Amino acid sequence: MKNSLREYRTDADMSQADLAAAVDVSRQTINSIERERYDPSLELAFQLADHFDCRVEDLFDPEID
Amino acid sequence: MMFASIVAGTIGFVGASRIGHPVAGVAVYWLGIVAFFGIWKRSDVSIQDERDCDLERRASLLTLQLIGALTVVTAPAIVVLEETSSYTAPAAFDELLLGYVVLFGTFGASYLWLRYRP
Repeated sequence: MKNSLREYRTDADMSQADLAAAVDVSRQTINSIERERYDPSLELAFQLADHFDCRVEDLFDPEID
Repeated sequence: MMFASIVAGTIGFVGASRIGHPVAGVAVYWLGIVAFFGIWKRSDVSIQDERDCDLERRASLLTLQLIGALTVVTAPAIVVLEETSSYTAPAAFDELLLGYVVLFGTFGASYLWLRYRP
């Protein structure tokens, strides 16, 4: 799923490891999400949105027509 | 560290078995298993996050599908070969087939339990 996670993370001057620790997942999971190789669970998506104080829709684009 | 203890236990089992001490090998194997759980319980690091669980789930499904397809194709083929030609399948074939039946039976039972549990 397309997402803007990398942009939000770099704007916050965070490493992948920092973000992973903040939402209690592995660095590899954050890397996979940013590379659009893994779609997070609803819970994790909301955690990420909450961390960056934005909406889930701001972070993730499901490309529903 | 955790998985290294299992690897060490397994290598210890294989090594001890090869030198004629399989019981000692089993003891080493179980030491590795106990070490695995001991390290896991004492550590505050989680082994798997959601992505690891998802990968494991998808790999398990893919494995079942591949083995299922292989079984569906080869088992009847071997039966027909045995009946129509001089080919005799190895004795291990029947045991392998039984193992597949147990595997898929366990999968079916697990599926039903997960589906209908309260």
